[in-house]
Amino acid sequence: MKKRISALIPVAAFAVIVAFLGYRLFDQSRRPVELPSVRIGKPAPDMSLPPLLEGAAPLDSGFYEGRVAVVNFFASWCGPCAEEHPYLMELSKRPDIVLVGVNYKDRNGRDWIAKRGNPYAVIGDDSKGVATINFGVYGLPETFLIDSAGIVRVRYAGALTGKVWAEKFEPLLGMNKP
Amino acid sequence: MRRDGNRWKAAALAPVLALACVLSALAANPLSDPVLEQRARNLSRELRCVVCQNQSIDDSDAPMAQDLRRIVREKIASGASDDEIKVWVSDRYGDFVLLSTPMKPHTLLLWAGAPIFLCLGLLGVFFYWKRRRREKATPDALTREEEERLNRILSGNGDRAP
Repeated sequence: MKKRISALIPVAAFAVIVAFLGYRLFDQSRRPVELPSVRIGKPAPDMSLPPLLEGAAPLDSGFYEGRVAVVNFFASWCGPCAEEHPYLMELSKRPDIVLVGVNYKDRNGRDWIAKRGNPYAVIGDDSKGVATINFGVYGLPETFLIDSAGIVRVRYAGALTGKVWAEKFEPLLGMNKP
Repeated sequence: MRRDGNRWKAAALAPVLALACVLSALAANPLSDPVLEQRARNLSRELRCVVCQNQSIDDSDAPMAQDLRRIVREKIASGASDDEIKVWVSDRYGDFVLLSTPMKPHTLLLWAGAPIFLCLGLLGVFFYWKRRRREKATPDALTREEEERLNRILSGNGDRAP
């Protein structure tokens, strides 16, 4: 009898390992595709980009210094960017945030904005992709919340919706109010 | 993304794509100094492409990987060391982009895990053999029936139950 129980030990150990690995494999909250941003809690990188729209002001990070900024990385070829566009239009009406756009390596960004409307206070043309890499962006769209002290508070990868905004962005807006 | 019907087409395309990937890696304006270019290639192989995450930026043709390859070359040309470039990239994308995991306090379990489990396994094998040898050296004591039967045989009463 004692022998039979000890023979079960390897089987039990194997079951424990399978359960652990299986849990980590299917655990949706820890998907490796969703890279955690190393920028959270750190100063946002400076940006200095030429304007996307003709005659508009260039994008300089001094523009939103001391204000709460939402920086949105987008491109015309990106499906979820079109999906979140109506919500960004809505967001642009808010007086307490500056909505900043960064157009990533895109030839049709100007036409895209002309066709759909411009939700951004200022849009930078990141034709070399360096500003985008400085923010640690790995896919489009991505949206960052930068507080009035210039610290990155939230990074969200994927289309921004009212639900995402209410869950991830809105609760942090009260922080660091001047 | 590939549909089943397109399998043959995809198979035919594979070598073309492989060639395109090689060409694309080369097309990133190689540095004129072959030693520096070799360093750039080696470094690119150690950096994960964040778009197609199981490829290095040397293998990947994603636009972001092309940008990172260009940045690696620019930094090498301006005299940055390999470690400085790795820090620059991991400051932006985290340790995840380094294809060889750095040795840090929170990665210690990962690095030590395999040797620890190997030692545990060897210990298990060692104790298992030790126990088997001891069991062979001292056979189990006879049960009562066996002892009675043995006594009967030895006393000449034959191997039959009474």
